[in-house]
Amino acid sequence: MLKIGLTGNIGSGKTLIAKIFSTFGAAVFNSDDEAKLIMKEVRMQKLLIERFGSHILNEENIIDRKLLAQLLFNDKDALNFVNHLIHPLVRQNFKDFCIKHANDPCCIYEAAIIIETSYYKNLDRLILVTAPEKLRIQRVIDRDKINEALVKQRMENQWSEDEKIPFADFVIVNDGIEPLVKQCVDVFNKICAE
Amino acid sequence: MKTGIPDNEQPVQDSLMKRFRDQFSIFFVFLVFSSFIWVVIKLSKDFTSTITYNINFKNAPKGRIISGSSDTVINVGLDAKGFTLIKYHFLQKIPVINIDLTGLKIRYYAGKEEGCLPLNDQIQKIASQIGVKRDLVFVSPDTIRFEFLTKYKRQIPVLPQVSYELRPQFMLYDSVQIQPDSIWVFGPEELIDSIQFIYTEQKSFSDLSENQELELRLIKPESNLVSLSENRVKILIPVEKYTERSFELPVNIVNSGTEYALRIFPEKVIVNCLVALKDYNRVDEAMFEAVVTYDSVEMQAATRLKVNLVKYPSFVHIARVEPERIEFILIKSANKP
Repeated sequence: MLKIGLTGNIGSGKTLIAKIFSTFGAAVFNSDDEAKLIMKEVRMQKLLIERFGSHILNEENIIDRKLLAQLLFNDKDALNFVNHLIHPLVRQNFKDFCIKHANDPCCIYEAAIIIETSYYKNLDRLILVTAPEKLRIQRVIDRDKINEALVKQRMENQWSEDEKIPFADFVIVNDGIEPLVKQCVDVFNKICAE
Repeated sequence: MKTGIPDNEQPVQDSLMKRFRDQFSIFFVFLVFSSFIWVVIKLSKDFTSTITYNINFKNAPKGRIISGSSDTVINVGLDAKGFTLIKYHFLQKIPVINIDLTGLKIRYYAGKEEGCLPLNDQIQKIASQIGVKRDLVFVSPDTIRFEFLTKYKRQIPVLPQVSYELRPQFMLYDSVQIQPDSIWVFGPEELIDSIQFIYTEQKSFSDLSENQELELRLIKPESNLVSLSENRVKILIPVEKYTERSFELPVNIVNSGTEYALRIFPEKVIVNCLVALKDYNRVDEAMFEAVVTYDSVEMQAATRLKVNLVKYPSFVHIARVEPERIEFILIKSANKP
């Protein structure tokens, strides 16, 4: 069973590609969903409140993710703190996930930051999803209901696609023109052939 | 200063001129007075005079249109005192005489419908319209001939000739409403069959930002044989301010359940629409339905399926569906060979 990383910048369409691979029988692990679950754990909430104060809890007494994201955006120390807290747990859960899906052809680790954290070194192959910036901005505006300036602000914190391409084994272009399914079939067949 | 007249002759000449002027004035006054007396005496005598009147026909036989008549004017001979004739000629002349065709008999002649009206039968009616009693001595011509066509009617739609420019962010809330949206048109069959629309007068608006309600005149077809049931129509241009809203909708698969299972990517699309401010809270996701149709023929030829919006409120304008086409995978059912 191969461990495959699936990454791409905001709005590139990672989740859609992951769904296509799941149709082929791949087991998909969404690191973002996993991180959300971890943040809801009581022990994690205690650590975050100790670091940021109780005001990061929302009305339902759980971590306000939007507020936390705002705090992390301008504070690199705080970002490192949270990353060091969450990422090891997410990765541990991925290891457990791989054991659970040992009989599947491959396990896909879907995350926005795989190259930046060098986690790709722990994976057998890396798939990068790319899309034109204009299209990615529009997708995020439609999906998250935020304005263009905020999307661009988020993008600035990510590596560019050109910087990421050298690290990828496969690049899937999700520009709305190139057929996605065909690209995914080709990639999946090549992975399985190995 | 010297003149050609000796100084002692000047007063005599002035005196003669004054006398002449006085005598001429008296002569002129008497001339006018005698002329007046002469005119009064003359006009007190009886004369015979002919006056020409335009004529209008009314009460045409039921279901018929007058397509032609032998005359459009009549001459009326009056025998009256001069004063009375002046009154009829100049002071009380009526613009048109109405000729009543009630009871006119129609005859068929060589495929045409004709009628003859002896004007002698109408003398009393004509006299009463002119306002004379025994002064009317003759009417010419003595008979008017008519040609008739069968009168048809057809309901024809009204087409408003209204152009407008809307202020940015404003849109037409509904189609331009016309009241009534069609009218009855009467006339010969051949003519009314050639009429597709009855147009209104032209009207244009710019920078519209609110409803416009107005009355427009209908343009009558050129032929005099055609008449309309209405002369004017009411027009309403409904205008509202619009804003953008978007909804994420699941895409339903129509006609699935064949030997292949259809998986689509993505499973949801974003519908961006323009909605009037007054409807903003009225619209929700449940009012929309997006589908792709399982069509094996199309699937063999295409890599993407078109997303169709089969249900959406009539009061929104669909700006775009994102993505418009989605990709798919056909998965053969396990129990199929």
